[in-house]
Amino acid sequence: MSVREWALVAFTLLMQTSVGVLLVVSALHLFSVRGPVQTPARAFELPLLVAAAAAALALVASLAHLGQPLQAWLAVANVRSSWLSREIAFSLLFTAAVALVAAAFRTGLSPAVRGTACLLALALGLAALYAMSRLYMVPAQPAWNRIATPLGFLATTVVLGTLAVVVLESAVPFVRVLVLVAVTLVALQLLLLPAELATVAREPAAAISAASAGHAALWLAGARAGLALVAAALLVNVFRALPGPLPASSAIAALVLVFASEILGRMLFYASGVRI
Amino acid sequence: MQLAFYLDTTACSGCKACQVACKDKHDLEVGRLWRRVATVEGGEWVRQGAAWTTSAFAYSVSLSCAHCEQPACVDACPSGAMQKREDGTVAIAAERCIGCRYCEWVCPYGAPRYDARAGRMTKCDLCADERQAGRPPACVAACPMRALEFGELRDLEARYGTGAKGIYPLPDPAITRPSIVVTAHREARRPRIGNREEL
Repeated sequence: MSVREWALVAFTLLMQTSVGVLLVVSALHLFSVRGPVQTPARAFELPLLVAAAAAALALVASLAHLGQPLQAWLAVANVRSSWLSREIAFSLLFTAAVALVAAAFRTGLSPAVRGTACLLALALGLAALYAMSRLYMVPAQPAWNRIATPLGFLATTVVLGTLAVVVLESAVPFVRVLVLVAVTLVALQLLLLPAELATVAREPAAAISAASAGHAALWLAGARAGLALVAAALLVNVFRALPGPLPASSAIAALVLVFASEILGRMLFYASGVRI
Repeated sequence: MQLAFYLDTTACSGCKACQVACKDKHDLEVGRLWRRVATVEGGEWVRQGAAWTTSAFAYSVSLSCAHCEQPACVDACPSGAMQKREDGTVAIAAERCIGCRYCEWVCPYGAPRYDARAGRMTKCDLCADERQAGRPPACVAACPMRALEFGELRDLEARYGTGAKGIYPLPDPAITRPSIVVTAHREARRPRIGNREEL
């Protein structure tokens, strides 16, 4: 893989992790304000700081895929018709917004204001995620031009966001539910992997590319499945230990393995991009 | 106005003179092709009683930017560097290109090519300078079989017809409405391809 593709893998995964963390924090904050389970705002501080840092890092990484990084500002010049422009515009707005939300949780603002800020930032994050999906869904790239692209990105967003929040702050409520969501999504991704490969292989151009690449795609998929399988086993172990103390080492190992598995999945995604 | 290329696949011999002329004219390094020639081959030996006959065929398709009427690259370009000009050609304003290479992904014809030294995209502009000087594009001038022409799209369609749909290996013209007029080889619509891996 080239530096350019690594930059895209880093950008998409870090941005999705950031949106995922904010999604989970927003949901938990909403439950905290409206529901019976109270959570101190302090519990969300570290996850939000990490979300802001991940989004900022994602933007920096995205520069590495440009031939002219010093002209990167021109990337938002065509929001009228370009999904890539929209992706960058929403990503920039989301990064600023999630940083403001992180700051808001460190101040004495009321829960209602913090909740509103969360939802506004989340709307920008989801818009960035949607634009990120749409830019790959072009007729010239049949392997990407499928509903599997946005669904896959959404699954990555939720699973990485959920696990990151669990690992960063086990004092949040509903940890057992969060782990259950994560393990379910990891299992679903595992089960759908063969169907995904079969669909890509049905594209004549992609099939030829896979053959000429010496079945590298199969190795990637196998490694992704192996990592996800071990991560799922660790998450089941974490789930069974709850509601007692969170087995932190297992949870951290699961997050690392899931992230590594997502990196391989994203590499597979870019490898499957073959023009008609 | 919409300028266009015309290609006669019944006349093209696959000599690649157009490809080489384009590389020479624009000083393109190895691997960066604004025009490519693909030769499609196929067919088989068929037994007819005591005799064997062959259905072997070969035809070539010379393809560059199709200067589409609905160019995917222009809509997709985030910086607005990819532009549709008044004469219908699609060209890059190099100083605005940020080298994101998104146009490379969205173009069904693989027309935009990355110049790694400059860090920007490049592509066929139908030899704007040659046309300015009253000469045809380099590829058209170089074709020894007179299989390539250029001109106003409506004129070419009036002369040669509009049947560019379903010609292998061209993508579905409905995607971007390419400004190319093609006379199809008799096998070009349903080829039993023998050299798919070379295309």
